[in-house]
Amino acid sequence: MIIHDKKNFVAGALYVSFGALVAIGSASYDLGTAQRMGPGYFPLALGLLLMGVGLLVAASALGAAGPRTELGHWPMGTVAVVLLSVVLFGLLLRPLGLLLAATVLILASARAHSAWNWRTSIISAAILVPATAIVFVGLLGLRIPLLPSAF
Amino acid sequence: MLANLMIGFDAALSLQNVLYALMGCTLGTLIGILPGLGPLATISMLLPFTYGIDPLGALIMLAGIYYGAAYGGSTTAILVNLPGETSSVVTIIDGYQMARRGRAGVAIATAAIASFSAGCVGTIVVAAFAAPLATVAYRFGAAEYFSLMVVGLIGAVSLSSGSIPKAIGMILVGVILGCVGTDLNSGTLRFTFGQPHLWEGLEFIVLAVGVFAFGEIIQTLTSGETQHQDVIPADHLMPSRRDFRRMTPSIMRGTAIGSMVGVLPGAGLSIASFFSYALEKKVSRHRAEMGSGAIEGVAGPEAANNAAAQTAFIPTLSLGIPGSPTMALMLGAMVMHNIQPGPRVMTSNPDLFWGLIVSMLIGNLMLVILNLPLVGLWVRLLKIPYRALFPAILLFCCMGVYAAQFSTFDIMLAAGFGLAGFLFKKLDCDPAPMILGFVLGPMLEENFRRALVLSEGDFSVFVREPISATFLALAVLILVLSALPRGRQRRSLIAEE
Repeated sequence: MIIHDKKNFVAGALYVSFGALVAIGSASYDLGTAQRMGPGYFPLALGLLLMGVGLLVAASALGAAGPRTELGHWPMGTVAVVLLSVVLFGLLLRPLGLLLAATVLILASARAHSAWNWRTSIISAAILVPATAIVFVGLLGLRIPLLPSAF
Repeated sequence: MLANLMIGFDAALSLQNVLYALMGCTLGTLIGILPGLGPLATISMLLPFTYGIDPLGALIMLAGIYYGAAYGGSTTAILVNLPGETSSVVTIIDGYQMARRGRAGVAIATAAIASFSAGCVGTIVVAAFAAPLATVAYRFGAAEYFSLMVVGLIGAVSLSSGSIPKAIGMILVGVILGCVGTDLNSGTLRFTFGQPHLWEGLEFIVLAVGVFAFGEIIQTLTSGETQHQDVIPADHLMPSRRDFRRMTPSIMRGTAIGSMVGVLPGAGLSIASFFSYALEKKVSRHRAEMGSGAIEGVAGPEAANNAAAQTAFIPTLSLGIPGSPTMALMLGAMVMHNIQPGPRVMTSNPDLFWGLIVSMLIGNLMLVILNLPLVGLWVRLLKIPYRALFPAILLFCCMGVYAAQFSTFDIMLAAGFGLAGFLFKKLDCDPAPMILGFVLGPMLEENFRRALVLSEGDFSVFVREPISATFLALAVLILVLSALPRGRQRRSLIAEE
């Protein structure tokens, strides 16, 4: 069997698996009846519906009549640099405070750009970190620790 | 209507609220001008600036951000040949050509004048129609409301790009994500995975920032569109008398089209400007010049997308049903400020409702004042290289997510949704219907359950009640029409243009 429309096939498969997970998860809650619905009724229906839609999408990808697509290039390196910098920021914000965590976020994420170099990222950190602290903590008054909690 | 507008002027014209409108417009334009950040990402990024403000002030500021973003995009389109927002894609065609012929300033001024006059007309349309519509909706029962929301969601699907089943799937994903949190009827925790931060549901900004802002950053970084762009300088702002004569009919046509399209569910601003451009190409006296720098090609679409930006508020404010993802975002923001949008807002908070409408007028005026003299500043902003820009956007997004609930867990969750957003882009799954489903999900479930309680578990209630049945029939009709070959062609045409 040849899959002509690879994008749609993967999308359909994802729908089916996510729908199945939701349906299984909802089944563990009280379902109730149509008149007195429990917390599981609506999400179960949604999960099953999504599985149905997913099957439809995946099946339509098999026919030779439809468009042909390839999955193409997946630049996972860039994705990882950007998103892991964000995760790192989340992990460091409480223990290290805003100033250090923001510096780490900027220095780490800047590497995702093809024309990255140390000089520009240090300059942008030097401008952005104090600016962020002033805007969010100074002007907007958000309760965010600036320095490591030990100080 | 006049008395109501007076209430609005009273509320909106306080010094504080005028300042909020000014701030919103400035921030919106500022971010809207940056290429590679759409209106959804712009609004989600700027959401934290409204946290500490009272509800009316926050709404006024958000609305300012919203049309500031729509407006700033056109400057980028004209000067750099890049759409700052998707709604400016059409403006590029003639706007950039005008700029290349040394008429960049005139093009920008035309866009500003067109947007301003269309925005004013749009605001009056909102004031005239939102109230009667809300009175009708006030009488809707649970079944009618459920079916109305289904029409809204299906309408959004029929106009989104890509395959219809895929878009329906995205809506379902959104509604499912909306189920996370405490079930209001039973108090049961659903899909919270032991995370106390999820008890009150998934925070809206987490999803929006993750899928749109992070998704767009990754997309821009990997698409190679980050190279330095040439910016055409803009001087000689004042259009000549001949220019004014040529743009006026186009502005009027664009305003009319935009006002109508804006109300449609899911239509969005880009479709309004596309329709207007198509119309100008057919009826304009100077249609032969279209594509090579005709002022009509800027005036019409810019008027259309701004009029649509205003009238999109009609279903959102009066029914509580957003017609587009951007409006879903506005609605989500209202919920964050503890306002449950819908027909009741107008009677329970008249100053809020009318104040927002009047602030639209003020906002439009501010945009003209802001945009024309500050063009030089905006141009300089366009010269900041992307590699210096995106870490800043990333940092601001993280701060916004954190500020919503003071939860670092939310920041990491947003990163997770960023991955999902990347996946959606790669698989051509438009995430816009998902945000619509997410915002409408809880209301959808509540009305679904209430309708079935009242009907004692009889599902036929949705087709037995005449109004509800009409809505559902309409939904089916939209689906069938857009699945037909001709509808498909038109849809792909819209998506391409």
